[in-house]
Amino acid sequence: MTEPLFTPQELARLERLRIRRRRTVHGEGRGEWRSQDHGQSGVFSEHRAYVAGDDLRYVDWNVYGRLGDVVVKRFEAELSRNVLLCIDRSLSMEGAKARVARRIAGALGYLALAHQDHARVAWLPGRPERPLTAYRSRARASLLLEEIRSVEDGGTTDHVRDLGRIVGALRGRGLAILISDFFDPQGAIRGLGLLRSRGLEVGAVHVTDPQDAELPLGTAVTAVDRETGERLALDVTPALQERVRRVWHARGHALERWCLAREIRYLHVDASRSLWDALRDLLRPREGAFG
Amino acid sequence: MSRLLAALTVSTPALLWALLLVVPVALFHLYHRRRVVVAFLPLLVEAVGPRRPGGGWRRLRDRLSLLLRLLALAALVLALAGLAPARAGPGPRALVLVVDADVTTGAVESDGRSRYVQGLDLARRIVASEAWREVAVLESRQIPEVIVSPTEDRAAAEARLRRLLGSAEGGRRGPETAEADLGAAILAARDLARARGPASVNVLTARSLPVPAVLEGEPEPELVVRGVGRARDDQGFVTFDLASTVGGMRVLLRAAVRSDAAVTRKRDLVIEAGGEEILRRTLDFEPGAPPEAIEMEFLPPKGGGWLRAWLDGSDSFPPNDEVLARLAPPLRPSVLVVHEEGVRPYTRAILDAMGDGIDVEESGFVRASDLERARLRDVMIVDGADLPPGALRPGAWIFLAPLGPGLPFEVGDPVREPLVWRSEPDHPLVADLDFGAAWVARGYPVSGDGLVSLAEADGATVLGEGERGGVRYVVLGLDPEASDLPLRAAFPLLVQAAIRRLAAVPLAPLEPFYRAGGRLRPRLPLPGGPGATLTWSGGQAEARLDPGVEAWHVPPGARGAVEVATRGWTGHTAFVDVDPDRTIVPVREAAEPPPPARVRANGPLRWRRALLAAALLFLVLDLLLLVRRDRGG
Repeated sequence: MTEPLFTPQELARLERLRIRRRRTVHGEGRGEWRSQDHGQSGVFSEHRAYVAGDDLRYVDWNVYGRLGDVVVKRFEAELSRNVLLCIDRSLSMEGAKARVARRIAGALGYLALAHQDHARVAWLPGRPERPLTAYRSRARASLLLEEIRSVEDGGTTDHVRDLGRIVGALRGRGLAILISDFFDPQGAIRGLGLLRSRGLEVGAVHVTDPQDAELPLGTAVTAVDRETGERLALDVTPALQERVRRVWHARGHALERWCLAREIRYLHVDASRSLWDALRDLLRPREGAFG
Repeated sequence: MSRLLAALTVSTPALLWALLLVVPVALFHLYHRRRVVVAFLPLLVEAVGPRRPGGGWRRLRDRLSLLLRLLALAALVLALAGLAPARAGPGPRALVLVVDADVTTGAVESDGRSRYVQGLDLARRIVASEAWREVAVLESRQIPEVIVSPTEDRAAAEARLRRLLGSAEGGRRGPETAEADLGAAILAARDLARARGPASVNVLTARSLPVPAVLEGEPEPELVVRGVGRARDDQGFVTFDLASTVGGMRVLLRAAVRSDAAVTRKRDLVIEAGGEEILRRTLDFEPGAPPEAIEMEFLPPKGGGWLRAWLDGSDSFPPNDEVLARLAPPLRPSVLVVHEEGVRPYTRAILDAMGDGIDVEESGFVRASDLERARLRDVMIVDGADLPPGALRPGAWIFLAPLGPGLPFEVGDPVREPLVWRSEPDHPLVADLDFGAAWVARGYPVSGDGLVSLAEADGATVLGEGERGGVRYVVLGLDPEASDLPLRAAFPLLVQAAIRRLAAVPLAPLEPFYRAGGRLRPRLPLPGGPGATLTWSGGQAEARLDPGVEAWHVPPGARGAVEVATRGWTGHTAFVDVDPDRTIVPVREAAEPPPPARVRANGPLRWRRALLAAALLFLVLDLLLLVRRDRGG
């Protein structure tokens, strides 16, 4: 991509967005996400009986005054969390899907850094020279956006192969968001399944382009796969066009059903839609995909 | 294809170049496909379905569409070029064709067809192309055969020849396996032609005419000779003979092999006896070189067997590449000498000289008075003894003078001047033997039924062989006692040959081989005769012994191993067909096929309409396919 991911106005608009927590998370370091680990965040969690050695500063004197029991207050720890952005850059994404996918990835990465989270960017297929890049502060947001903008499309889709290498290098848990058209010849769900099996909180952003389901009418057509170069000789009839659309929709629905059944957060993004509509869906509190 | 083209004519041949348009049309159809890049091909694969129903029909329809377009184009071009069948009109004369079907027309020509097939094809083209009033076709075989009866119907004659050609190409009809009588066929054709007024006799042959002077000088019917075939790459046997050596233990093979090829050829000569290779020699044939002579002696296999000699490799005429003969087992007969007062020294000396040629352990001597009680041997020699009555029993006997009573022939009064002045030079017993120089004081003439004279003195038979009442015999009426015969080579050689001949006949009553066209004469009456069934590879014949010559005729065309079966007896021999005069080398240039005939006036128009209609039909069918495809079929 030659043009920047976001204009200054769009970056300002991003500032106004907040990623809301949806559930407690596992993370590392202090951040803005609540954790079931007890800490010193100031957010009350529970009481427990005092035992020798407890810090007297946490004794709840009000309870002692009312009930005569010596209890200590416990607080939730506030942690920063890991956000892994897995961006499909295979040739099937080339065009509108790639731009939308990168803008969504950029927005999510930017917001994560704004919330003092750790953002990591992984490309599918991976770049051998730098499989995983970690960004840890808001000051690095511009670098993150630059990376997402500059990496070129290329390669073939094999999510299991590529994600296997990435999650093998990961430590700890966190949120993994796979942004892809899920045109994986090995199966659209296998990559998500792999992420989930590693204990990661998984989100799927399914970027689609209706043009993928459109074929020009005509005889003696040779369809060439953009990634693999495989060929298929066809006569494109209206009936075949309709079948292709049906299959295309069915694949999307099947992926969504599969995700919902496994509590994987799923968001369908039409490449022709506005980025902000998609982000609104993404960040909508509670029912939002990643709120 | 070439035959099809010969049967057609085109009024504007230059337009046929337009047929080349089929190439770009086909290439465009096959290779110009609209290319669409898709993001995910498995999506389409899934939409089309795992088994891609209709994929086969789609391909078939695609190819069918191409075929229809090409056919439409071809039909259009041919219509514009004026394609029509070649048809000749009637002519003023009758035409009688003679197609040579001699054994040499089995030669394979450079186009893979036999010369016989080429001859038939040439006849068909002549019939199709030339102008004639009436036509007939004969084949020159051993007996001429009319294959197309005289007719004025060109289509019927063509169809008949086409059927015959199909049979010949399919191997159901072939040339003679022996020499065909070309002269007889020409004479028959001439008679056929003369009965039809002005006529022409066309002889299609590669051979020289046997009766040129008779026919070529006559104005009517005209005789035209057209050459057929060009092949001359032939190496083969031109002579073949087997004989026993003087000792009788070994076999002498003599053969000659010739090449008619115009270039140097190299072939391996291989000879097998009883399945074992006994000779392999590479023969280099220079063009025009005389035949290569082969002469070798060898011991026949113990149990007998086949002798097979062949030239390894291939040429244009395989029938003369191999010869076959049946070998009898080696012979070691036992001999019983019947004497009066003792064996005469020269008789004993002859037996001693035969050495291993006779079975010494089984042989013996017996007084004539004891012969009745003695065990008979393979051959009995009566050494000038008088046999007691009843002592003579069926078997093989040699009688040496003096001759007593009770013999299977009659003995006359002694000859005064027993000077042998006549003998049978071709008979194996006396061939190369000279009794004429011998001094003989006493000779007994012999005579009787079944006695064959081999040598005569003073007009009477003094040496003969015969058979009576199961007694097969050789009798020598010249008395060695009162002559210088024992000092001459002819006498011991005769006795040795007689022993072997008499002993061998029961073991091998048939010769090792018989020549094609000759007679199959057994060496002695066969049990269960005189009828016999002859069976060879590719044929069978019932034969009846000709009482005059006591022989069967070798069936025409029979070649190779032959089984001879009478009632209760079966033997084997071989038929060999070698002929030094036979050659496949054509004596004249092969005739070119006649040019296409004139075209009938109404031919092109009808064909043009038909071709245009065909083109239209092909296009309509293609259109129907298009419509079906666009409806999503």
